Amino acid sequence: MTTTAPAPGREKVTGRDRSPAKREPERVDHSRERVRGLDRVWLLVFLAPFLLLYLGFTIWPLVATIYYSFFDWSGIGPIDHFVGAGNYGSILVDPLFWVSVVNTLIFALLTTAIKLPISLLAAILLTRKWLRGKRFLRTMFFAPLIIPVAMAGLVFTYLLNPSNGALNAILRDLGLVDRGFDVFANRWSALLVLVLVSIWQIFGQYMIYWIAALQNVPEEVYEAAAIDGAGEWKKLTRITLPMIRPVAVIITLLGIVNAMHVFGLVVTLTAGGPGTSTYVVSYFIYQNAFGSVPFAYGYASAAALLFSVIAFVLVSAQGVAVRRAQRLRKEYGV
Amino acid sequence: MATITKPTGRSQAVRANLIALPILLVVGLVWIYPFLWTISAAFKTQAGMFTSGASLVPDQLNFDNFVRAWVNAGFSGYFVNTVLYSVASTLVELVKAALCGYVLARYEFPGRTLLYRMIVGTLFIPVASIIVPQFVLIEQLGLLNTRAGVILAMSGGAGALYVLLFVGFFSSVPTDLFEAAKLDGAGFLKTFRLILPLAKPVIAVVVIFQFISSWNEFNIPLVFTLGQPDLQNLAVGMLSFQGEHATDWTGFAAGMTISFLPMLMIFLFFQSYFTRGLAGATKG
Amino acid sequence: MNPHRRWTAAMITAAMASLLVAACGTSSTGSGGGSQTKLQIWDFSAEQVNFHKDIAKQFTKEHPDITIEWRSITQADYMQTLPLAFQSNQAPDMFYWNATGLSQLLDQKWIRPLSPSGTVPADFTKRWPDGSFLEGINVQDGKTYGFPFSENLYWGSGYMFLNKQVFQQAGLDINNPPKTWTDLKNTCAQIKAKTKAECIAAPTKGVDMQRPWYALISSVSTDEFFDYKTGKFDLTEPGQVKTFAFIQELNKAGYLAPGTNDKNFSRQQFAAGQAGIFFDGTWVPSVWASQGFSSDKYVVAPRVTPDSGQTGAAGRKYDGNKYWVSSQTKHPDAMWTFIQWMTDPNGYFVKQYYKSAFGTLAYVDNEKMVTDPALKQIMQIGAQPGYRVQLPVPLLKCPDIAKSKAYVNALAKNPDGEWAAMSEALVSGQPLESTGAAIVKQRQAALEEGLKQEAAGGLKVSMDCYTFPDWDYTKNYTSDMYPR
Repeated sequence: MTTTAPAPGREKVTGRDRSPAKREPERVDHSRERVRGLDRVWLLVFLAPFLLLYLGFTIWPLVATIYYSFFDWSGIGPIDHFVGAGNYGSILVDPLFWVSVVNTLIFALLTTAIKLPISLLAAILLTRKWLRGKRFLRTMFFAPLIIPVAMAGLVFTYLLNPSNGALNAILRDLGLVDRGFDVFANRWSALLVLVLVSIWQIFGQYMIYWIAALQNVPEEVYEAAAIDGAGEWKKLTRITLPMIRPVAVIITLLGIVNAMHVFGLVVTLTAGGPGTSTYVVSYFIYQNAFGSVPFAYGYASAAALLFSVIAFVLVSAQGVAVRRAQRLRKEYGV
Repeated sequence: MATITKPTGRSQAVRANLIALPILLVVGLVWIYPFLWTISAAFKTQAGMFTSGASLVPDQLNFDNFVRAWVNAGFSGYFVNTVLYSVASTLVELVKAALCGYVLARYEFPGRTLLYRMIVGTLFIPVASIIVPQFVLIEQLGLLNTRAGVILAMSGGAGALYVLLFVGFFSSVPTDLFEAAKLDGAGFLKTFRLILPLAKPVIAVVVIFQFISSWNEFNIPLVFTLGQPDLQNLAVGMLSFQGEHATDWTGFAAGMTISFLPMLMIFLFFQSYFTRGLAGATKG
Repeated sequence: MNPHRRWTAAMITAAMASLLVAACGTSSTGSGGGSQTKLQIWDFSAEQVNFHKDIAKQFTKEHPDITIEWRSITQADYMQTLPLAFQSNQAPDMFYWNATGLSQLLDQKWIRPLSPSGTVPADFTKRWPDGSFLEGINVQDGKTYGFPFSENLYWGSGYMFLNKQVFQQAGLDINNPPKTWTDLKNTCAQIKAKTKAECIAAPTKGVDMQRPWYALISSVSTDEFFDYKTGKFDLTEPGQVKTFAFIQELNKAGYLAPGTNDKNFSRQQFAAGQAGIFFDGTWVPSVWASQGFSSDKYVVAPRVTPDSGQTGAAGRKYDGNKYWVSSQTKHPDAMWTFIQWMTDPNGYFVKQYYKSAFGTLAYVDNEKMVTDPALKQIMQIGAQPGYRVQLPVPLLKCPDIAKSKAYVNALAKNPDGEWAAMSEALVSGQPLESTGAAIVKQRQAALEEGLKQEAAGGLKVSMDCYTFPDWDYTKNYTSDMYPR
């Protein structure tokens, strides 16, 4: 049973599926059939809605963005001042861009490393059959997600404020600090707050992803395992985790990608400060594109593309590394 | 069934609940504290919100903020738009993602790998940076200042994520299920109809997230209805609380509180879709 | 099986239907029916939304064939939205814009003259003091494109607000406010010793750092990061470094309220009696009034000067031209009617504007109209000689500056660079000289390089246009001082 999942996502994510394809060619062939006859029409009909919107709202804007990135264009008026790779050149030597890249990566890795396991844990707990009040509990953990970022930023500005915020009131009562502690006065504590608040807000989303993935495991497998005398832990590591792997790969990818696009929280919580030490890439782009008149739309386009490429390469590399490690351990392959 | 998974039966379940529930409740209350704070701010005065710090008790008990929100954010007028945008874009998103995800997961066809890689690759593009070309497209289509334009733009960009979720789901459906359908003589469309209901959890995910994100979306409705302000949604109306020199946070909180309700309802309702999608399916 | 099929079909049908409905739903609403003219006005003034609604109502009462739709969009979104609106030919009839001046707006083809004919009658310009309409500022080739909205003698940042309650608790005389840096420190020491309140509610987050900064630097140097006397970006000059060192000293002594706060937080902190002193501008009384903090609870005082005396002033700029008529308006006549109506010094607009104490208008006798006590105090202070002085304007020295983008381009890259340098200096304790060096170098190089390139391209521009050696920092640079 556990071998039914061919994990197509995992191979495609990394964009290099030659070696695993060689390793498990028959499985891939089994899971996806070729279309014949009338089915070809159906295939096209099924693809059409997505393809149309995808071409219009993702591919064409992407092409346009690439085009803009070679111009010194303010977003207003004719696009006529071609600068070649000039925008790219000045970004690559802009130290602030690199600070932003490093911060974004730290942020993305930290949030992903924390939010995925704890949301999986919550999902496992909140799908137990014996648990009462699941609906209520899930709603609780989900609730922060529906607060818009501006509001969430405000709430935490108040709660974390050194002069009258809740956090400092508690710390003071415990005698840990005597004067208000300003978490936003230091790069690392500010980044940590960004990470934690972001996890708080997005947690529900990943919990829901995991719950959906967990529902995917056929009940019979657990029943069979229970008859064989498998305990909860064994069921988790031997059945649940391997079975949700295809979705897990995608959830992880989403987690990293979404975290890399962090913007609103930085605006509302730190405004990039202290100094420029908590700049993230999307904030850098925004500041340069729309922070002052005239807008540097071409420059921002170049920065956005450059970062997309960096992110893509890094995530791909991480995917390759994970796969290699997994292959070595042979833990999941079964 | 339950007796098989839990050999010792009821008493053990009760004990587990007794341990888990209090812990979950306490953690959960801390978790939603900022959420409750927002709601309580909707009842406070500006000064009260500031001075009360962490307290959830409002310094007044009236609905001034709500009245202001209702008028300033234009709730009465924008509510219909907001519902329409959210429902329509969710439906579009769901249909296109389910169809595409199904095909990508089940069928081999020329360009499949390329398409998949492109979908994954384009995930990395910051959506905010591509609104100008999207705007140009909608303008060319003559859909500027129409509801259709807003809905198209809302459901055009984010779809890739949902396709991946559906691909992940459909590719983990046991192959025997398809074989069985085939043996029963089911064709392309019929097989899809048989399998789709199993994807309830993923459908729920897509509905919940697309609905919430379109409900809170303000960039697209703002930019795509510049000439027709009456086509805008609540989130744009909410912007009128933030001015050059001041932000009316309590009015904003009140507006938020009113608009929380539909989102929570969607969540509560679609939660029931989180049932074991594949349970029993392999038997039949 | 049946329910499944029906379910899928219903889903698809519903999706299609909703798109159709949505597409059709809008076709009925055209551009207003018949004789009714609708004017759209855009700005980012959420606090004035109700005032604008009231204005629109009254105007329509007096001019039944014209309706006004006045919209407020948040500033950040406004900056993105307005360009898109112009690009797609759906700009409003009148819009608020003070990010760039007349020449850029003309260059972008965003504006048209105020009146349908291009020229405005003398009884219109008479509403403003002499010298309000200047070629290059709001007049071009004899056509008038803009009008000063806010005046610039009182309107601006750099006032000190003192909380009565806190001063009373501290046993301080609020009518004898601190005047020098040392006074300020002593006042703070007393507030900290005698009350639970903080001394200065100083926002230090991002650009909000400007509140304390402008209040202190204005007594030392007359500029906003650029010294028009020497033509240099001057963040790291001795005066600036000394002033920032004073802010750092206040911070170290615990006289600034803790936390990296934004302006909203600091304003509320002051209003809640949790801080005794706050630095801000002419607009803040109306903000506080809307939050229930009335002007009898605080006092406005002049900013504090260094012990060695005042060497600078707050800069007055010709940036009061805020509302422009859009080049895309289809109703220039109606727009002109409205502009004349709103700039009537004795009209309904003015009366209501002053009733809410939003500020000081350029075409109004403020001495007569202002009733709000806080605004009155602000006017008294702003009118003191040398408190606020007219800055030199490069455009008036070199007309070709209108076509030059060197200066705006120099500011465009890393626009918050100065504030970031200050924030870094504040948390790290380094002198501003070292954290600000990079941004000053970048800006100066960009400006000089840009001007050189433009000069090579045929524009008559040079660093000389940005240099006014004959200027006295504490005196107005009047229009007769420009070389003709």
